[in-house]
Amino acid sequence: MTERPVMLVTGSSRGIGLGIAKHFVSAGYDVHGCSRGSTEWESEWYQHTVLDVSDEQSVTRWVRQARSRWKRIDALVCNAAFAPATHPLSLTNTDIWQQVLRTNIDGTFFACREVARTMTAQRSGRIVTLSSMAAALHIEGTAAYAASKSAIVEMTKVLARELAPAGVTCNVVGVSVVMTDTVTALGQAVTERALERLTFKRPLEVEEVCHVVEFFCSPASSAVTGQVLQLGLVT
Amino acid sequence: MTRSQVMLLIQDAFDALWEADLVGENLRVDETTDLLGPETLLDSIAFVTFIVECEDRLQAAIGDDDHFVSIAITEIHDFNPEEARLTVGVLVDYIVREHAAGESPRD
Repeated sequence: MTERPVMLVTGSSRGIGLGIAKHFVSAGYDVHGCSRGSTEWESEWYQHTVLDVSDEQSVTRWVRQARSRWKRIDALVCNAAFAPATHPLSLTNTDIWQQVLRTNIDGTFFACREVARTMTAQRSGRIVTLSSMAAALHIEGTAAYAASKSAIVEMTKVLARELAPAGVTCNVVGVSVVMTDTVTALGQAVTERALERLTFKRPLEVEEVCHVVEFFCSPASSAVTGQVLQLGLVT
Repeated sequence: MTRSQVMLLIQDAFDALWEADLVGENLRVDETTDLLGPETLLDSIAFVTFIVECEDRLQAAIGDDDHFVSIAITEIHDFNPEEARLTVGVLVDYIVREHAAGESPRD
């Protein structure tokens, strides 16, 4: 058993997920992350597992191993997501559509389901999922991604009601533009169009996302559940 | 695992619910005790906790960290979801059958 709070983070090898892992290790957590690729970052308080969040067995095993090792899970951050290049819905390939839904919706579902069982039994916990400006702004070319992120919002709100009697909170961080490798790969024109839609017309820093996740995970937010906190955007 | 071993495991799980103040009485379970349905003592939180307690005890009994035990209610052959009633006896049958077969329901 560890005295440090225990957090699970999906998609933690790079970008926002890596930033969250580093932030919470610094904040005193034991963090167990996962992603499809390995990570070069090492810490005494960080353990990484290579897995695909759309694989039910792998996610179940990952959560069970954490529960078995630490005897509790204090926080889950569902960050892993697949964001394909933008396509009009009429030109969206079925394989891409299904890959987005499998990674973003199934992956969030598998992690939340397994962790929710643990948190229900321990009668405490924090679940934070990540959504996107795409879900709030209905941006052209993002049908699959926006649909998946809207599903995450709805799933989180329902879960918030279900887990409230166990003292578990579930909230959503609505992320706008963060200059991760994934966003950079979409190209400057796409980034500029996205920034133009925002209220604060600048990219977010990863730390700005981390601070909101930290609030949702802290005792200070014990009465906050089923909420979406949208960053950089008035909806 | 034998039926009597599984019954003991389920009793331990119920005792844990009592210690956690999730049920109103320290029940001695038998095969007819309701886990789901109008006569059950378990609310939704207590039921999920009960399943997790059973899984953890099964995991410890099996002692194999590569083989994760999952109890999936929808895969219990004798559970009729239209009646939404599940007894200890039906759950015991399911656990004994799954472990006699040497596989987890989700493997």
